[in-house]
Amino acid sequence: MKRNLLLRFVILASFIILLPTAGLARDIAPIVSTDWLLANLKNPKLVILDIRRVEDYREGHIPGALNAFYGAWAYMKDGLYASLPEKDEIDDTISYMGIHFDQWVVVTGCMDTPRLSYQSARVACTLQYAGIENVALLDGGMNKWIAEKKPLSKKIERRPASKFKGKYTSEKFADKHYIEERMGKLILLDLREREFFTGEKKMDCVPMRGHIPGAFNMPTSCAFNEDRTFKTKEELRAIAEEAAGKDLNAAIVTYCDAGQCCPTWSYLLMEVLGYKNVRLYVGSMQEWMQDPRAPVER
Amino acid sequence: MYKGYVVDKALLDKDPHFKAGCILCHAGNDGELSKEKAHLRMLKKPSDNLRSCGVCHKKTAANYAKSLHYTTIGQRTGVMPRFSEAELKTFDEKVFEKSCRSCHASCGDCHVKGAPVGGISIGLVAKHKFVKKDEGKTCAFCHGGRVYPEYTGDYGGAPDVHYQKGMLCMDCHKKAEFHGDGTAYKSKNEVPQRPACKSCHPQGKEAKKETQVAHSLHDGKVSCYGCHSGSAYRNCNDCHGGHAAAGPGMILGRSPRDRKVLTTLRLIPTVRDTFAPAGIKMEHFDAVPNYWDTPAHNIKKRTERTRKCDVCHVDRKNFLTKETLIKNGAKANEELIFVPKAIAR
Repeated sequence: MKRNLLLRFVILASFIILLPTAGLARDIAPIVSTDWLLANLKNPKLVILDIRRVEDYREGHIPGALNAFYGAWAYMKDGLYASLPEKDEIDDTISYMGIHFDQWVVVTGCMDTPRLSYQSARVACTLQYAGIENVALLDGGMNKWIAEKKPLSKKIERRPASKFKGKYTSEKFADKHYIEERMGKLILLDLREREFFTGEKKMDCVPMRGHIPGAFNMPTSCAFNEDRTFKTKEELRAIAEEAAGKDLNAAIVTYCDAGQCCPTWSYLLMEVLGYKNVRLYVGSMQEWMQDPRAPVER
Repeated sequence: MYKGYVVDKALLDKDPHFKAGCILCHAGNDGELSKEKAHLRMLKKPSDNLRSCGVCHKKTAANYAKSLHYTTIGQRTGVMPRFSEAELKTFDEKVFEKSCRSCHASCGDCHVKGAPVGGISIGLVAKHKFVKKDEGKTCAFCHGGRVYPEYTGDYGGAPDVHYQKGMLCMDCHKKAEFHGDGTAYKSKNEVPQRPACKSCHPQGKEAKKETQVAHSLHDGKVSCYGCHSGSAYRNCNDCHGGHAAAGPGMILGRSPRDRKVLTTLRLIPTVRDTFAPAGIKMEHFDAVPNYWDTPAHNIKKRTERTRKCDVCHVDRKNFLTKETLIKNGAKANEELIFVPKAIAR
């Protein structure tokens, strides 16, 4: 019994000591600029994932970028719009891209609409879920790259496949049960636009109006400038602290309507602002509101 | 320069199609100053007459005249066993020539300006550039009710694994399949250039032993789609029949073309009164089923069927049954019902 307690203490102490280093494994910034990317195009560690549709990729993409369409990373399953693929499917996708754990993966996509702008973060979070640490988002996405007249290629890129087997973390995503068990102890961030949070509007896919009781509203759109680049770290911090507070160890869950836009703040909170315990609820309101007994606030 | 001029000026010097001016294809009178006179006898869609393109592309145009995209004869072949001889004659005159044939694609529909579908066209594919291919604008538009959205995942569910890997239509469906080889095939099933899964994925070369075993056990009994159709697809009837709400559905049953093989079926919209307005009763309506074998375009490496034998052998999920058959359908439908055997354990 005593030995068991000692073992538990050692594990807990190791966990607490190592916790601050959890976010320090990065070799690249979580958000990279178009200029940085251009300067690093020939870096052998770099892999660029272009998550736009195949048709758009073929029209012209960043030289060397691989096409990794968003639909492979989040798709409708069991009636939920943006479910997480099975682990072996994620392994298949990453293997096909020839990605290894030690590579720097920059995700870029189309920023034409808010919904499209949020997709890169979902892919980044999924890569991290699989254990790839050096993941980054291209600031401004393909729209900025093209607007700046940076080089484009029409060559369809392929890399030798890797035999990727993800080291999946259980700390990236939350499900309904996780939230229900911790109601009142979590900081819930509702990342939809205000009128969806208050219940004035609702998406067709969400059965009921309103939000999870106690949630704070922090729309995903607030993270972006008008040109779809991210706001500065200071601006992001001011927005985040208003809703999530200053405690970087607080347990936070982000959600939206269908799990498509909540990855953005989840990624920013953890990777840019240093919050350590942030999960995103993939099923989001689409799943939560299907349960007529689930608590709802308007 | 006139602002509405649709041809990209930069193309004029580069592309030999423009060397002899617009009149080479569009006719009209380029020496006239008034629009009315200049456009006299002008051809809006020159390639509606294949001879226009045939001047330079003789062999391709000759082959294409016999291809299924041009003749659309596949639609006639599919439905004709329902007709008596007299009915077929009426069908040819009143329906096929006036309705089905309107869907044929001319050269320009794929290479210059998208074909009108339901009166709507995407317009020029690329500022009157003669494009070799642009599947997202051409194939996608005519095959956008089903097939293309299934392929890209736009109906929900994962995109086809080939799309996930960056492939578009013509990575599998080769030029020869569209342009034809000079033979007037009656159905797409006769076209030798049709893609086949096994051309790229030969059986016996699978990486895992259990995959080899699974493939060998089902070889000749189940089509590849049978297990690897990964998500939602639409039945033709969902939109055209007016009998069902549009929505994803998937059906497994015996192939109408080869009853030994279990495959994915699609419910087609021909019902007993479909051709009544043309005075056709369909004397042999019951001879042909309402379900056709369908090459699913939502292929996934891993599906619930590849993961778990019980999905088919115990749950019989989405198998055609007497209860799920279309009401008032053809008697031949019943022959497509297949009941998978339980596995001896």
